[in-house]
Amino acid sequence: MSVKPTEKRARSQDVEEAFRTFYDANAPRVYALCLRLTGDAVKAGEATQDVFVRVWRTDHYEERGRVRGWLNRIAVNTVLDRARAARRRGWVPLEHVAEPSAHTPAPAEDRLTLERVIADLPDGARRVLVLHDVQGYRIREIADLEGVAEGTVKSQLHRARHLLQEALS
Amino acid sequence: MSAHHLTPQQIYDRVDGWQDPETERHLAECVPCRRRLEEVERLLESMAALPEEVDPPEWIWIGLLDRVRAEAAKEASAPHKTVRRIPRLLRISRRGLYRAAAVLVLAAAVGVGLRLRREGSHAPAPAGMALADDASFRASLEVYERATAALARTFDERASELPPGTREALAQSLGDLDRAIAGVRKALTEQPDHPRLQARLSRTYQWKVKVLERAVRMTTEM
Repeated sequence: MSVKPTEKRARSQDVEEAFRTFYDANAPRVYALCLRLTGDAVKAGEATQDVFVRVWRTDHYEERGRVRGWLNRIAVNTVLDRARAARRRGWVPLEHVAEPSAHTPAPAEDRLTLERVIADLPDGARRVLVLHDVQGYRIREIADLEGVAEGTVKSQLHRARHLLQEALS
Repeated sequence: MSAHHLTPQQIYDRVDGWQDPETERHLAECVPCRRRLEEVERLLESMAALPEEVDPPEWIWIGLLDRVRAEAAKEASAPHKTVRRIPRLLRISRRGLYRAAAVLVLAAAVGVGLRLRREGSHAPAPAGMALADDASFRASLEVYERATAALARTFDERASELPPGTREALAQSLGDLDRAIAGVRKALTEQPDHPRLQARLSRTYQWKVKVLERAVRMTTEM
């Protein structure tokens, strides 16, 4: 069956409208997760784009029962893929152990301070901390995602918490 | 009370739900360790209470739209054409459509621009063919201006990470684009409804968004 050009245009506009609606409903959560995992607004923006491009490529994405959990998994995998790719290219040291910058002491309940200190954590420690303490992932799940032993995740988590406490104290 | 206090690891194990009789006995007797435990618990509560959502900057959507349109164009040119159907869930939900209006107008503007280009740049504009009404054209320009401003801010913050030669080349490209935008804008003040000028302005802004996106990406890859 042939489709007239005007109909095709109208359909593609409908699809874009629907996609924008889906994006508006979900992007703030995906972006927040990417932002905390990467600690960088531009990298988070690029990762968010990657997440929604993956969504766009997926058939029947609207039929997935738990869109939120599904998107979170894509976001986490996207950020981890990008981190692995950067490591392969040698852009990020394997053991990035930068200490958190010395911020002016601030109360832990100050949300912005907390966000900033989390963003300043070393990459691996930050990802584990965000996944475990903010997103509620289990140690075993994080170990599977990162492709490391559970003990490694646990020690990264303890290190991240310790650095966080030091920076906030 | 024991002579030694709990290690940070024992405290973290405790907040993660590991029950160790020795730790419990120590906590029952040691006030400083109980305080440390409470501090860690408060910290974890603060993290768990961080907002789940952060508004994404508009440049993310603009770049995303470019990418999915490129994919759609590739799909359409594939030998077995498949028409993407509207997702069921999304057919019901209409939230966000108003926010999308400006972007859709922009899409219309770019679409018409492409049509004009296909018809040949010297062909006269068809009678009565307006790109969009004044208000929607202005709205679409506002979207571009917000996006380029946000990207330019990010780029300015990071430009120092680029080699001087790259910085100069980018500054020159952006300067050229700004001059082109200013020129078209000036022409539009004399002929505000000219569809070809409107399309050219949209295209120039679109190009500027692309250049800025690429520039910002370069700073993250250094």
